Amino acid sequence: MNQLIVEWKKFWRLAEMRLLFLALLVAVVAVTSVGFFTDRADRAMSQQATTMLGGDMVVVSTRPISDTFLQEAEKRGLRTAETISFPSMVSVGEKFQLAQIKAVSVEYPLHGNIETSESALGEVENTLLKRLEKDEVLAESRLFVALNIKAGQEVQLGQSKVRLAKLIRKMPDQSASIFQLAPKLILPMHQLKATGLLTPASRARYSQLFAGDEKNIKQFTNWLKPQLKKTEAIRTLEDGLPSVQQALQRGQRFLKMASLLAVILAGAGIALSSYSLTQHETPAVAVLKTMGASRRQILFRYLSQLFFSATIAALVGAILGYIIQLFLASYLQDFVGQTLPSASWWPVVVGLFTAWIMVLGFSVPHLMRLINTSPVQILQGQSSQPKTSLFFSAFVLSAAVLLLMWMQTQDIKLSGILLIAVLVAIAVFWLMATLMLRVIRKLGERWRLPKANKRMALMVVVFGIGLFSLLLLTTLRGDLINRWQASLPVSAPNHFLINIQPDEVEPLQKLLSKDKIETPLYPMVLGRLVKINDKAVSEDDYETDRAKRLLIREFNMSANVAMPEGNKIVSGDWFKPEALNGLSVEEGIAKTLRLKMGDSMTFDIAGEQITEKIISLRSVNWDSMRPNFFVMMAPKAFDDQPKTFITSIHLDDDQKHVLPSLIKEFPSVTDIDITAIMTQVRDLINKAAFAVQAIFLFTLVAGVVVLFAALQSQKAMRRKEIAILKSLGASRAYLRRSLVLEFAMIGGLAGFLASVLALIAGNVAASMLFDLSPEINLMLITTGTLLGAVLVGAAGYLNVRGLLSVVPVSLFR
Amino acid sequence: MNVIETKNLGKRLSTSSNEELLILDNINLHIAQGESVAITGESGSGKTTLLGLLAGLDIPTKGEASLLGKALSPLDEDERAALRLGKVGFVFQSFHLMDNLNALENIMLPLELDKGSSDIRQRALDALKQVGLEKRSTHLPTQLSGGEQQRVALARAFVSKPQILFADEPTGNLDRNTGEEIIALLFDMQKQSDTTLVMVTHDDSLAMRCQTHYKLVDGQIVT
Repeated sequence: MNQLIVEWKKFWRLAEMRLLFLALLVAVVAVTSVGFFTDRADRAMSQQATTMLGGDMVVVSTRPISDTFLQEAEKRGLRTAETISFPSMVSVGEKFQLAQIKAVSVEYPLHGNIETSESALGEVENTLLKRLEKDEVLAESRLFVALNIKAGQEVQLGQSKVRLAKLIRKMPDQSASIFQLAPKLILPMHQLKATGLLTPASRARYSQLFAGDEKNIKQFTNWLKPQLKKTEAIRTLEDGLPSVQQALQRGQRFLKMASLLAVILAGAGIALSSYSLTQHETPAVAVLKTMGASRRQILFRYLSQLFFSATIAALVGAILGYIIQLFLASYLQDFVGQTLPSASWWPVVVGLFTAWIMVLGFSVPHLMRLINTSPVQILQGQSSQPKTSLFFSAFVLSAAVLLLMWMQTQDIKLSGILLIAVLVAIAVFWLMATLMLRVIRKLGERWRLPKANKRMALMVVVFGIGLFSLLLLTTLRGDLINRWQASLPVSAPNHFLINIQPDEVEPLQKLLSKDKIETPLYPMVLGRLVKINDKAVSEDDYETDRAKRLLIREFNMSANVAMPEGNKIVSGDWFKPEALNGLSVEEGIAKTLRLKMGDSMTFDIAGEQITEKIISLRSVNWDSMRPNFFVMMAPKAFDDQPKTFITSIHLDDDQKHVLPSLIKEFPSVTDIDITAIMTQVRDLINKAAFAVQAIFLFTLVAGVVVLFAALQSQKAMRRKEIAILKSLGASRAYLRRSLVLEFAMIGGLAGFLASVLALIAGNVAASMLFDLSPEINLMLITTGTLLGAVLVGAAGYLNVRGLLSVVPVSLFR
Repeated sequence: MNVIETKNLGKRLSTSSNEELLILDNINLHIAQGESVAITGESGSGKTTLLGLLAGLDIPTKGEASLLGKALSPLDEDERAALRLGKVGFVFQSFHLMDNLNALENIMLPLELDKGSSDIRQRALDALKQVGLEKRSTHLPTQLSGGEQQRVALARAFVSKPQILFADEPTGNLDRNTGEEIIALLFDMQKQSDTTLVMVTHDDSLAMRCQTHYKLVDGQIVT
């Protein structure tokens, strides 16, 4: 170890080695800071999702679940709770209302709280079930409205009389029930038996909830999975907060792409600096060989140094990454509204492997050439390296890039596509650069421009790819986030109104239009899918949990003349205004249930079976905050069906008065305020944008490293050239002009190519990854070209400025 | 005992246009332990190629060369390197010091390559003292003059007490006075350690100071 450090100090004196280390450091900082940050954010979101779920893991079934799961869980030190849900009538005197009864054990919920109040607008407090009196139950405000009672009044539930103690304002698992028509009533489990409601024939849904530490839950889930009956399924965190999670996943994808660009760019820096390093070390290796060093000794000498550098870069980088992540996380913390879980060690491992893979992949091809240096060349005054096969270099490089991409995306297909994209980009850059330089060469003779040569083509490719990453990120960050935010405008709906009766539709619309609120109202009918293509279906016909759930649950179906905003037809045609038949199905659910155009679906709607054929498939923007439906029927299909209506509206702060008058006039209509969720989603997008901006800095630093590495690799050659030109009588002014012009030309060309390609790639990414429509931004091309010319012109000149004072006599040494 | 021997040694090169170029032909040499030998010739006469073949840096296309009693042709590159390790030293026209290593570290290098070496630092310091640069031990090559760099190179060549020292135009990059100082030091050290010296030079006066003088003309020895 001591020896390694001593040797490292010696290598550190080489500018190439310092550049290589810097490139490694940038890559590791980018990877680890994003890694720590996404790791913590991921776990915070999982925690939030568990709150929505009521536990870390839930087993659901349409039949009673045996106690063995509970016993085993308790044996393993997990906390448990049970719920049984079923519909039942609740009555007060002559008034009857269907309610969704949820009988729960006192431990419920394992995560999160049941928030209650004395009245609809009263103060909110947490309620513990064990604190309830023995006949007290909780219910959603809709039940109070429907029965026209106040908190504390008695109602009939089956054979029992229970007291509706408080109104439920918020509770776990509410998201799944937002559109369920029947209001929820929470009944402590010990009161269930007395109601006499639960019989073997009841259409009940049984759940067992489990909570504990991550490892324990995982082990328990693994133990449990093989024992599940066909009627039993595991509910995971994906059911938690779909829109918030989607936004978070987008943010993370952004961050990871940004860090990946920094890594690849740093890779170019490593490749260039290790090229200069081996170029510089060629005579040294020849000398070592004359002294009797074997190839193995030489390989060990350089490889051990490279790996040692990579390890130090990884450790220092991880520390820096951790510190940067702390800033990002403290920013994130206040809006997640909970303590972020601590970071895991995993990003350090990823950082270490990133550094090692980069050193191996980007410098080993050069190293192989170096160790094969012939010793005799030291006598002949040459300094050339033997060639290695291009195939070998390309293979090692591609493998390294693929591995790095996979480590970031954990998606081999996506990594493959990205790798091909990078290779195509290099090929395109090379081709375009060569072509354009040829044109410049022709023009250059007339205008006395610097001679275009192969070295310039290489520089254009290197700078071009660097600038490409920077510009791509800029477009992604600015353009894409702007458009993405625009897809969720400030005027996005923030209230859902549900349970609107058919005769209330017109007066309600009138009331809303007084405040200039125009919104479509969608009829909503519940139906259970019973047949596909005239064949009975059940949850047993499908393997995925999602498909099983779809068959257990009732579908919220709608019908409308116009297609809901944010929906897009992907196949077939939307309904004609007078149509009575046909179905339009959301493409995701069609895939889950293996449905295709022309298939027939039979729904049981209030006891009546209705069969229709699929005439169109739609894509749906689920985070549009508008009513969205998996299945829509023809505009006239529900004319004769019993139904309620649903809509979403946007209320500004100065329109808040609408709500009280609305509830007063339409007491059965239920308002669901989604402002909180909306704020959360928008906040997330903003924070993600900020985070990407922070990561953007790494790419910038990586770009600068590449720039200097490229310049360093040509310094020796340039020194000689300048000496020759001076000996021929070139003045400093002439040399300065031609150097600046050459670098500006390289930069401008690279910038032009980079911005054109970034524009294309940005749009492809926008439509593929983020479902946004393409946009052409000509400013980007102008900016890119100018930026390239100025940046490379200035940096290039500053880097070689010192060479202008080279004295021609150095040629004779 | 001869430490270097050649028998009908020849080297041909094929050019890019597939023409055969005869660089050396029919070289027969016998160099004894402790002997000093000069190889002179015009530019392009093949003297540097011959030095490379004698040291086992390159292999002949004809004939055989042996170093320290071992034929070189059957050996691969690493085996030839192993043969040189600790027994052969080099001094080059352009010094070829590692520019990231200071004077002392440059001298330590051949000892570090040889796993059997001990007291590496002390031996390198002694060698540095021998060339009169003990006060410059921490200086990097760029901080040393040409003459000082060649002194360090001499110390590096002699530090492992080699049996043979190959020198390729050791004064080629130095002014006359400095060159003479270096040559004086070189012969001094060679005599002290009874090292065989094989020196390539175009300077006849320098060649005269060696015990044996071979002259190369068009790839063949004429004296």
